[in-house]
Amino acid sequence: MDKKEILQAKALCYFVGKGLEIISRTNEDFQEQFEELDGIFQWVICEEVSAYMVATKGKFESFMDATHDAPTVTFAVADFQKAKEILTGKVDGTSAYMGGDLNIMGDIQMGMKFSQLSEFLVNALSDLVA
Amino acid sequence: MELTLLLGALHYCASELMKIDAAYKQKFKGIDAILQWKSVPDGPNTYTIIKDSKIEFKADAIHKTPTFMMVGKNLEQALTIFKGQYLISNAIKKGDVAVTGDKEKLLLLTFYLEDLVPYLGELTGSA
Repeated sequence: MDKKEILQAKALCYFVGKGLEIISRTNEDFQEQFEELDGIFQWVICEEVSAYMVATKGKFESFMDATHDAPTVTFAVADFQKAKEILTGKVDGTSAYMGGDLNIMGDIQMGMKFSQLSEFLVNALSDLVA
Repeated sequence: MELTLLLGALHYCASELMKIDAAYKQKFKGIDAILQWKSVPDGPNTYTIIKDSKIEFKADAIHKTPTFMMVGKNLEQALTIFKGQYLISNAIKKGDVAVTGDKEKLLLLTFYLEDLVPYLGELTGSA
Protein backbone atom coordinates (compact mmCIF):
# COMPACT_ATOMS: atom_id res chain seq x y z
CA MET A 1 0.00 0.00 0.00
CA ASP A 2 1.23 3.47 -0.72
CA LYS A 3 0.85 6.36 1.74
CA LYS A 4 -2.42 7.49 0.21
CA GLU A 5 -3.95 4.02 0.46
CA ILE A 6 -2.73 3.59 4.02
CA LEU A 7 -4.18 6.91 5.09
CA GLN A 8 -7.49 6.29 3.32
CA ALA A 9 -7.74 2.82 4.85
CA LYS A 10 -7.12 4.29 8.29
CA ALA A 11 -9.69 7.03 7.68
CA LEU A 12 -12.26 4.44 6.60
CA CYS A 13 -11.61 2.32 9.69
CA TYR A 14 -11.98 5.47 11.78
CA PHE A 15 -15.28 6.36 10.12
CA VAL A 16 -16.60 2.84 10.71
CA GLY A 17 -15.35 2.48 14.28
CA LYS A 18 -16.12 5.94 15.59
CA GLY A 19 -19.29 6.06 13.51
CA LEU A 20 -20.54 2.93 15.24
CA GLU A 21 -19.61 4.41 18.62
CA ILE A 22 -21.71 7.48 17.93
CA ILE A 23 -24.65 5.76 16.25
CA SER A 24 -24.90 3.15 18.98
CA ARG A 25 -25.26 5.95 21.53
CA THR A 26 -27.54 8.27 19.62
CA ASN A 27 -29.71 6.38 17.13
CA GLU A 28 -32.82 4.90 18.74
CA ASP A 29 -33.59 2.58 15.82
CA PHE A 30 -30.06 1.22 15.99
CA GLN A 31 -30.31 0.75 19.74
CA GLU A 32 -33.60 -1.08 19.42
CA GLN A 33 -32.32 -3.40 16.70
CA PHE A 34 -28.98 -4.24 18.31
CA GLU A 35 -29.66 -3.91 22.03
CA GLU A 36 -28.51 -7.49 22.69
CA LEU A 37 -25.52 -7.44 20.38
CA ASP A 38 -22.24 -8.60 21.90
CA GLY A 39 -19.17 -9.31 19.82
CA ILE A 40 -15.84 -8.18 18.52
CA PHE A 41 -15.68 -7.17 14.87
CA GLN A 42 -12.22 -6.87 13.41
CA TRP A 43 -11.11 -5.42 10.08
CA VAL A 44 -7.76 -6.07 8.40
CA ILE A 45 -6.99 -4.27 5.16
CA CYS A 46 -4.10 -5.48 3.01
CA GLU A 47 -2.53 -6.96 6.17
CA GLU A 48 -1.32 -3.44 7.02
CA VAL A 49 -4.23 -1.52 8.48
CA SER A 50 -6.36 -2.97 11.23
CA ALA A 51 -8.98 -1.97 13.72
CA TYR A 52 -11.57 -3.67 15.84
CA MET A 53 -14.88 -2.71 17.35
CA VAL A 54 -16.25 -4.20 20.56
CA ALA A 55 -20.03 -4.35 20.92
CA THR A 56 -21.41 -4.74 24.41
CA LYS A 57 -25.20 -4.80 24.63
CA GLY A 58 -25.31 -2.89 21.40
CA LYS A 59 -22.90 -0.16 22.47
CA PHE A 60 -19.70 0.05 20.44
CA GLU A 61 -16.16 0.95 21.35
CA SER A 62 -13.52 1.10 18.65
CA PHE A 63 -9.78 0.56 18.67
CA MET A 64 -7.67 1.85 15.81
CA ASP A 65 -4.36 0.34 14.72
CA ALA A 66 -4.92 -2.71 16.86
CA THR A 67 -5.78 -6.37 16.55
CA HIS A 68 -7.72 -8.42 19.06
CA ASP A 69 -6.51 -11.81 20.29
CA ALA A 70 -9.93 -13.39 20.05
CA PRO A 71 -12.26 -11.49 17.74
CA THR A 72 -15.72 -12.91 17.14
CA VAL A 73 -15.28 -12.29 13.45
CA THR A 74 -12.51 -10.88 11.29
CA PHE A 75 -13.02 -9.29 7.90
CA ALA A 76 -9.94 -9.32 5.73
CA VAL A 77 -9.58 -7.66 2.36
CA ALA A 78 -6.41 -8.03 0.33
CA ASP A 79 -7.17 -5.32 -2.21
CA PHE A 80 -7.45 -1.73 -1.01
CA GLN A 81 -9.88 -0.62 -3.72
CA LYS A 82 -12.20 -3.51 -2.83
CA ALA A 83 -11.96 -2.59 0.85
CA LYS A 84 -12.84 0.99 -0.01
CA GLU A 85 -15.87 -0.11 -2.03
CA ILE A 86 -17.09 -2.36 0.76
CA LEU A 87 -16.54 0.13 3.57
CA THR A 88 -18.19 2.97 1.67
CA GLY A 89 -21.20 0.81 0.87
CA LYS A 90 -20.62 0.81 -2.89
CA VAL A 91 -20.27 -2.96 -2.84
CA ASP A 92 -22.42 -5.14 -0.63
CA GLY A 93 -20.42 -7.19 1.87
CA THR A 94 -22.28 -10.39 1.07
CA SER A 95 -21.55 -10.00 -2.64
CA ALA A 96 -17.90 -9.27 -1.89
CA TYR A 97 -17.73 -12.38 0.28
CA MET A 98 -19.39 -14.55 -2.36
CA GLY A 99 -17.04 -13.11 -4.98
CA GLY A 100 -13.97 -13.89 -2.91
CA ASP A 101 -12.97 -10.27 -2.34
CA LEU A 102 -13.89 -10.32 1.34
CA ASN A 103 -12.57 -13.03 3.60
CA ILE A 104 -14.62 -13.66 6.74
CA MET A 105 -12.98 -15.62 9.54
CA GLY A 106 -14.79 -16.68 12.68
CA ASP A 107 -18.51 -16.50 13.30
CA ILE A 108 -20.10 -16.11 9.90
CA GLN A 109 -23.47 -15.20 11.41
CA MET A 110 -21.85 -12.26 13.15
CA GLY A 111 -20.26 -11.45 9.84
CA MET A 112 -23.73 -11.17 8.34
CA LYS A 113 -24.78 -9.05 11.30
CA PHE A 114 -22.17 -6.51 10.28
CA SER A 115 -24.04 -6.04 6.99
CA GLN A 116 -27.01 -4.82 9.02
CA LEU A 117 -24.78 -2.48 11.01
CA SER A 118 -23.34 -1.19 7.77
CA GLU A 119 -26.74 -0.06 6.54
CA PHE A 120 -26.94 2.40 9.42
CA LEU A 121 -23.36 3.49 8.84
CA VAL A 122 -23.76 4.07 5.12
CA ASN A 123 -26.80 6.25 5.79
CA ALA A 124 -24.96 8.20 8.47
CA LEU A 125 -21.77 8.63 6.47
CA SER A 126 -23.24 9.35 3.06
CA ASP A 127 -22.44 13.06 3.40
CA LEU A 128 -18.85 12.38 4.36
CA VAL A 129 -17.68 9.81 1.86
CA ALA A 130 -17.83 10.42 -1.86
CA MET B 1 -22.29 13.79 14.01
CA GLU B 2 -20.78 14.24 10.55
CA LEU B 3 -18.48 17.13 11.41
CA THR B 4 -17.28 15.64 14.68
CA LEU B 5 -16.52 12.37 12.91
CA LEU B 6 -14.80 14.13 10.02
CA LEU B 7 -12.66 16.30 12.31
CA GLY B 8 -11.74 13.29 14.40
CA ALA B 9 -10.70 11.39 11.28
CA LEU B 10 -8.64 14.31 9.97
CA HIS B 11 -6.73 14.68 13.21
CA TYR B 12 -6.20 10.95 13.52
CA CYS B 13 -4.90 10.88 9.95
CA ALA B 14 -2.65 13.88 10.58
CA SER B 15 -1.08 12.01 13.48
CA GLU B 16 -0.73 8.89 11.36
CA LEU B 17 0.77 10.80 8.43
CA MET B 18 3.43 12.15 10.76
CA LYS B 19 4.47 8.56 11.41
CA ILE B 20 4.97 7.72 7.74
CA ASP B 21 5.95 11.06 6.18
CA ALA B 22 9.10 12.67 7.59
CA ALA B 23 8.65 15.86 5.57
CA TYR B 24 5.15 16.36 6.95
CA LYS B 25 6.35 15.74 10.49
CA GLN B 26 9.21 18.18 10.01
CA LYS B 27 6.71 20.99 9.37
CA PHE B 28 5.45 20.66 12.94
CA LYS B 29 8.84 21.37 14.47
CA GLY B 30 8.63 24.29 16.89
CA ILE B 31 4.85 24.68 16.72
CA ASP B 32 3.16 25.21 20.07
CA ALA B 33 -0.42 26.31 19.55
CA ILE B 34 -4.01 25.66 20.50
CA LEU B 35 -6.55 26.05 17.72
CA GLN B 36 -10.18 26.39 18.71
CA TRP B 37 -12.91 25.77 16.13
CA LYS B 38 -16.44 26.95 16.69
CA SER B 39 -19.41 26.35 14.45
CA VAL B 40 -22.23 28.71 15.23
CA PRO B 41 -24.91 28.48 16.36
CA ASP B 42 -25.11 24.78 17.14
CA GLY B 43 -21.53 23.56 17.18
CA PRO B 44 -19.70 21.32 17.28
CA ASN B 45 -16.91 23.15 19.06
CA THR B 46 -13.57 21.42 19.01
CA TYR B 47 -9.98 22.29 19.67
CA THR B 48 -6.58 21.04 18.63
CA ILE B 49 -3.33 21.20 20.56
CA ILE B 50 -0.18 21.07 18.46
CA LYS B 51 2.94 20.73 20.56
CA ASP B 52 6.17 18.73 20.47
CA SER B 53 5.30 17.46 16.98
CA LYS B 54 2.14 15.87 18.30
CA ILE B 55 -1.50 16.59 17.64
CA GLU B 56 -4.17 16.26 20.29
CA PHE B 57 -7.80 16.68 19.31
CA LYS B 58 -10.68 17.37 21.66
CA ALA B 59 -14.19 16.95 20.34
CA ASP B 60 -17.08 18.94 21.76
CA ALA B 61 -14.85 21.08 23.91
CA ILE B 62 -13.89 24.70 24.37
CA HIS B 63 -10.39 25.68 25.50
CA LYS B 64 -10.15 28.56 27.95
CA THR B 65 -7.08 30.14 26.37
CA PRO B 66 -6.68 29.10 22.75
CA THR B 67 -3.92 30.67 20.67
CA PHE B 68 -6.31 31.03 17.76
CA MET B 69 -10.07 30.95 17.57
CA MET B 70 -11.83 30.20 14.29
CA VAL B 71 -15.56 30.70 13.99
CA GLY B 72 -17.38 29.19 11.05
CA LYS B 73 -20.71 30.43 9.74
CA ASN B 74 -22.59 27.17 9.92
CA LEU B 75 -22.31 23.41 9.75
CA GLU B 76 -22.60 23.25 5.98
CA GLN B 77 -19.67 25.64 5.54
CA ALA B 78 -17.61 23.70 8.06
CA LEU B 79 -18.22 20.44 6.21
CA THR B 80 -17.16 22.05 2.93
CA ILE B 81 -13.96 23.31 4.54
CA PHE B 82 -13.00 20.16 6.38
CA LYS B 83 -13.82 17.93 3.42
CA GLY B 84 -11.17 19.95 1.61
CA GLN B 85 -13.58 21.41 -0.93
CA TYR B 86 -12.85 24.95 0.28
CA LEU B 87 -9.36 25.29 1.69
CA ILE B 88 -9.40 26.63 5.21
CA SER B 89 -6.64 29.13 4.38
CA ASN B 90 -8.80 30.61 1.62
CA ALA B 91 -11.80 30.74 3.94
CA ILE B 92 -9.69 32.62 6.49
CA LYS B 93 -8.21 35.01 3.92
CA LYS B 94 -11.65 35.84 2.50
CA GLY B 95 -13.12 36.37 5.94
CA ASP B 96 -15.54 33.47 5.65
CA VAL B 97 -14.04 32.12 8.85
CA ALA B 98 -13.69 34.72 11.58
CA VAL B 99 -10.38 34.57 13.41
CA THR B 100 -9.35 35.73 16.85
CA GLY B 101 -5.58 35.83 17.19
CA ASP B 102 -2.81 36.52 14.72
CA LYS B 103 -4.30 35.57 11.37
CA GLU B 104 -0.95 35.50 9.58
CA LYS B 105 0.50 33.12 12.14
CA LEU B 106 -2.59 30.93 11.91
CA LEU B 107 -2.19 30.73 8.14
CA LEU B 108 1.24 29.20 8.73
CA LEU B 109 -0.45 26.31 10.53
CA THR B 110 -3.27 25.42 8.17
CA PHE B 111 -0.92 23.10 6.30
CA TYR B 112 -1.65 20.41 8.86
CA LEU B 113 -5.14 20.01 7.41
CA GLU B 114 -4.52 21.10 3.84
CA ASP B 115 -1.66 18.67 3.31
CA LEU B 116 -4.18 15.88 3.93
CA VAL B 117 -6.35 16.87 0.96
CA PRO B 118 -4.24 15.02 -1.66
CA TYR B 119 -4.47 11.92 0.49
CA LEU B 120 -8.08 12.06 1.63
CA GLY B 121 -9.77 14.44 -0.77
CA GLU B 122 -10.81 11.66 -3.09
CA LEU B 123 -12.50 9.98 -0.16
CA THR B 124 -14.45 13.07 0.85
CA GLY B 125 -15.32 14.25 -2.64
CA SER B 126 -12.90 17.13 -3.03
CA ALA B 127 -10.69 15.58 -5.68
